Amino acid sequence: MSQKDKHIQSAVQRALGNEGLSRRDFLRLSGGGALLAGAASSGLLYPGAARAVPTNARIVIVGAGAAGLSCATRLSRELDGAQITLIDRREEHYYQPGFTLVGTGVWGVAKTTDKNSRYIPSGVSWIQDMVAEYDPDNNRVITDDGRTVEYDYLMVATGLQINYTDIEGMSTDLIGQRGVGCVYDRPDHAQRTWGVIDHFVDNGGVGLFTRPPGAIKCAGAPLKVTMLTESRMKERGTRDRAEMHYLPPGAGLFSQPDADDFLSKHFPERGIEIHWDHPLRAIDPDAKTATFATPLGDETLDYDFIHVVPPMSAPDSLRESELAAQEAPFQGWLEVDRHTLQHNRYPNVFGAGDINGVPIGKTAASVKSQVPVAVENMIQAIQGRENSARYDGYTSCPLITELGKAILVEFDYDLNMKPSFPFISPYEEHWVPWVMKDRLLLAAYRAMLRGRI
Amino acid sequence: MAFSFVGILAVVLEFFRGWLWVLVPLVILDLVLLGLFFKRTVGRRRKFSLPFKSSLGFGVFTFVMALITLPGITRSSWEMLSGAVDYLALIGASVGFGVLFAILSFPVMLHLVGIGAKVKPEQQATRQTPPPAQKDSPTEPQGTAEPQQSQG
Repeated sequence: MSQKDKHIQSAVQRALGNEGLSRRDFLRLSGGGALLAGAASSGLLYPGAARAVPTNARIVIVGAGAAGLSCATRLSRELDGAQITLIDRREEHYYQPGFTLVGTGVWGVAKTTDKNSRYIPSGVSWIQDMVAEYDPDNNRVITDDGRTVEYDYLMVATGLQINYTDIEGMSTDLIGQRGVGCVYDRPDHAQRTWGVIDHFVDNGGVGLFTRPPGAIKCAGAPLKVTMLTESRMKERGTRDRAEMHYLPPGAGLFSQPDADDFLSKHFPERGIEIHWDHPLRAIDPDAKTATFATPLGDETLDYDFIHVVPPMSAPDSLRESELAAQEAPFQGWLEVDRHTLQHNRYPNVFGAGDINGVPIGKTAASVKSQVPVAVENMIQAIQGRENSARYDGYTSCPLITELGKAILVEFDYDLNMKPSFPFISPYEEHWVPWVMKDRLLLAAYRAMLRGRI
Repeated sequence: MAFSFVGILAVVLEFFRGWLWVLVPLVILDLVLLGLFFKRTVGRRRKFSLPFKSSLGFGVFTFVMALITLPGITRSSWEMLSGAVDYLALIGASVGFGVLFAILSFPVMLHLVGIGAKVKPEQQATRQTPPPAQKDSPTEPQGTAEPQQSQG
């Protein structure tokens, strides 16, 4: 050891001695610190910024659903100095993938309700209002109460709106009454739906299960509600009391061809009659009849229970703005490049989640895959770099076929199966995907909101 | 959708977040019991073999019970299981529960069957007799606590 090293060592020991620490204590604390630093840098304890990009950009995120919150978490972690504003009036956060389980009595409603404030990172401003108008030419949005919020970069993550009034005679007040159910949109809708399904399961009758034309969120939900209701009847020994009909708007049940083949055979095997090309046009809750606009004209059917799934669209404020695609097939939805999720005409605008005008993927699993891409490309835009992240259309549906088993269907834009776990066959019913849906996916969802996956 | 190792850990942490109110007190209780065990056994023999076997038995019992009841607990049934994936997952989860309960029960078993008789002073002296080469060197008389702790 050189004289200089000895000098340094004695100085360190003197400093430790002044703090009342021995050399052994110091090493012990250093080891603990290294472990904590490792855990922290991996994002497990605190997903802090490892290499935050310095910027003073003003970023506005519209929507505090799954996509909006995940974007807020990631952007606040990966940017240093950005002024991030989140706009959404709603205080509650809904775990929407759980609504089919609430609507069929598997889960209690409390499991799907949370608070947005639990997931909004510190340093992100939250404006509790809704965007009424987008003005992308002037880089600003205007809220319901007339407040103008300017931005340098905009992340649109509004989710979609459910157009109940597109079905003549339908309103949200009807849900849970006179045999009308709808598990979408709100936990209380799902809870009220369980009330009427429970009654139908006990008493039987004619059950109609509908699905609207066009893009909808969680396209597997109408199928799951049908199969879980049938499963409930078998469980209670009342299956022979009911006649069950599934009425899709076209000639397919599911966008992925293998899953479509399976379901097209599986439904008739379970005594669920499929009526192709039957989009629901109107219901008469007093007479308990539903009218379908078939290619051969209107057809009216009686029902004792009907699961109504209304058509869905982008929220009006977005649909009527310059940000919406002007032409089919995604007219009215946010006009983004399907791979980069950057707006085609406004390069400082990005989209994540259900609002995006992309071929498939209005699911929480799609959000999980889209958010890192949209965020990374936005950050690269802030840095003036060419964007490099790509979304391949990944989406997933744990298709519950019965209480206790499911098929884990995962696919991409090309409709090719993309199993996350190669040992779980996407072509067969298993217990493992059921356990994942029932027990694990909520934890994965929360980890996603916290930006950890 | 690929999950990284850290991603899987994050999901596991989120999964157990709701159970922390049970798990944390249990772990603390076990640590306290472990500390108490070492305190109680000063001057006594410590038996680890029997508590280990008892915990192992408890773990095996939990494993078997989990194997039988897990499908039902998850609102499913044995008839719903199909293919190697389901059976291996069931066995894996049951092993996990068995190991968890074996570990959690070990400190309790230590207290129940791990405390032996008091060690007699002459036995201690015999044990502390230095090796023959050092026999001439003076040996200081020691208290009962010191040698016992060194055996722990």
